[in-house]
Amino acid sequence: MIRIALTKGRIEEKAVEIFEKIGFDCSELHNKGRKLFFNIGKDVQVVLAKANDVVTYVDHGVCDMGVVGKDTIMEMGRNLYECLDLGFGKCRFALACKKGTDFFEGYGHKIVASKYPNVTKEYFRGQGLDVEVVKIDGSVELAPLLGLSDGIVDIVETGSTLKENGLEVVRDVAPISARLIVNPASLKLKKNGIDKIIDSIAAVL
Amino acid sequence: MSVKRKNIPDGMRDMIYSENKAEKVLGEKIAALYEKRGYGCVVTPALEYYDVFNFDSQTIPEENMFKLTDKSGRLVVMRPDNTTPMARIAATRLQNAPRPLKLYYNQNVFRISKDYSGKRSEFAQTGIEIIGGDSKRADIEAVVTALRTLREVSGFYGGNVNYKLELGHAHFCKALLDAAKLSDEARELVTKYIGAKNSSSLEVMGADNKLDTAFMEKIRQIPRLYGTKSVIAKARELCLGVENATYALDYLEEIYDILDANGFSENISIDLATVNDMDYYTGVVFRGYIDYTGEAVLGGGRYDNLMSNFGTDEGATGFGLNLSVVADKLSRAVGVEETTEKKVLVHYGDTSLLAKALNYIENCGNVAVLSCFDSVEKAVEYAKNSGISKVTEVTSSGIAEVWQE
Repeated sequence: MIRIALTKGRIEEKAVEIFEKIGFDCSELHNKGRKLFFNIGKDVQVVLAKANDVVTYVDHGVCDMGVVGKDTIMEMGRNLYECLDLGFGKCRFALACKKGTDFFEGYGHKIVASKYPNVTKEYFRGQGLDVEVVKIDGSVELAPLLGLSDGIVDIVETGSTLKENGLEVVRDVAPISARLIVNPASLKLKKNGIDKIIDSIAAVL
Repeated sequence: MSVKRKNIPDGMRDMIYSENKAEKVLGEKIAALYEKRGYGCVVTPALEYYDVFNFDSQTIPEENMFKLTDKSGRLVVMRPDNTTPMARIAATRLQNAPRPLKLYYNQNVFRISKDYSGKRSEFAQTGIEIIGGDSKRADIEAVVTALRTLREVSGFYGGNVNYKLELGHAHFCKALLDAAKLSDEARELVTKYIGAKNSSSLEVMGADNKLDTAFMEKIRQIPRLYGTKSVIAKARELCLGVENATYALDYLEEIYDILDANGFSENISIDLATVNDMDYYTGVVFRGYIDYTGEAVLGGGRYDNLMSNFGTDEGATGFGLNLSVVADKLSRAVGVEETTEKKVLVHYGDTSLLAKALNYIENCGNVAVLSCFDSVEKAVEYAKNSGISKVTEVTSSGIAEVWQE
C-alpha cells in the first residue's frame, strides 16, 4: 500500500484536483466525516495533516509520499526526496526591511526576525553574512517596526501586507511552491507503485 | 530533587526487557554469521581522541559528536562511527597482519540527533570492514555479505519483510561534476539537489546561475537513474567524453553482472544519483533498505582514502547496519515471537535449606526464581503479581508445590 500525506487546506484542494485528473477516486476526500484515512485507489490511501507533520510522517516513512510547501521543507531540513514541483501555491521567501533603510549598509550587528529561523540562518550563511536571528511566531512585520530587528525574512505573495506596513522587499531568498516529497526507503522498496504516481502527476502538470 | 535525576538526555533510551531483546539476539545472530565467514571481532573504546575523527572527508559534522576532555584536558569524543576506529587499528596494531584483513564490530555509536526528530543519539551498529586485498573481490564480498546480513534481518522477522540492496558508484556523479568545473557554491547546490532527487530545482538553479545548458540537461536526468540494470545504459548517454564517469559505470556493471550470474540480483537495485559522502567513498557504494524502517538501515562502500589518514596506503571496503533502528522499527511493526517460559518461585523455609533450594533451581529445568521472602504467604502473593505460575517450597522433609496458577 502507498500512503500519501496531504497538507490540509489550500494545498489539499489543489492536490485533490491533480489526483482526480490522474484517475484517483477522491469521493471520500469530498465527504470527510470523522474519518482519518481516505482511500483514493486500490492500495492508495491519503491522510491529512498540518504542513510540518506531513514532513515528519514522510521522514519517518509512516507515509510514503507527501504534498507540502517548499517553505516547510526548507525550514525542517530533513533527508527526503523532493520529486516534483507541483507548480501551485507559488510565492517566495524574501528579506524585507523598513522602506528607505539599507539593510546591507555599514558593519553594524544585524538582527533579523523570522518565523523561519533555519531558512534565515541558512540564507545568510550562504551570503557569508553573520546575522542574529530572532524567532517570531505571529506577524513578523511588527518586529522591525518595534525596533527589535533590522529586517525580516518571511513568505511574500504580492507584497501588499509589507507595503501597508511601510516595509519593502530588499532581496528574494528562495521561490516557494507545493512539492511532492517521497521517503527514500519507500521509493526504493515500492518503486513501481510510486514511480507510476510520480509519472502520472508529471504528465498532467 | 532535581528533575534531571528522574530523566535521561534527549536521544538516549532505556531499553527494558523485550525492548533490548531483539537488538541483542539479532546482533548475536549477525555476529555469528560474520564469525562463520572468518571475520574477527574488534571492540574499541567508547572514548577516542577527536583527532582520530577529524579529517577532510569526514562525513559526520563536528557538531554532531559528543565531546568531552580527558584528564589532561585533551579533546575526546564519544565514538561517532565504527569504521574509523577499525581503520586506526588496521594501521597500527594490525599493520603487520596478513591482508585482506577482515574485521567486524557490534558496538554502539553516538551522534547528536536533531531535537524532536524521533531519531536516537546512541544506537547499536554492526558491520564489517575488509582492508587490503584485491579490490574487486573485496567489493563483491562486501556486497554479498551485506545481502546476507539483510536476509538475516528479514528472516529474524519471519521472512515476510522485503529488503533491497542498492548499488551505486561514488565516482559517477563526481566525475561529471568535476568535468563541469562548477564554482564551489554551484557544486554544493547541484550535489544537494541530485541527492534529493530534485530535478525541478536543478532546472531552476541552472537557469539562475547561467550554467551550461547541455550540462544541466544531463544533470537533470541523474535523479531518475535508479531501478534495474537498464539505468546503466541510460547513464552511458550522459557521460560522453567523461572518462572517469564511464569507468565508474563499467566497474559497477561488471560487479552487477557477476552478482547476477551468481543468482544474487533478486534483491539488488541500482541508484546512480549517489552524491552522499562523495569525498569519503571512492568506488562502489551501497545502501540497504528494509520494510517499515523508513530510512537506509545499511550503508557502506569502498573508501580507499581513509587509511591514508593513519599513515598507510591501502584500499578498504565495508558497511554498517543500524541494528537499533532495525530492531526497534521492525519489532514494533512486525513483532517478535515472545517465548514465555513458565517460571517457578522457589521458597525455602529455614535458611539452612538454602543449598537445597539452590540445587533444586539448578536442576528443575524451568526459569526458577529464588524467593526473597521470609514467609511462604508473601512468596505466593509476589508470584501472583509477577506472572510466576508456580510456587515450590523447600522444607527439611522434601520439596512441595504450595501454589499453582
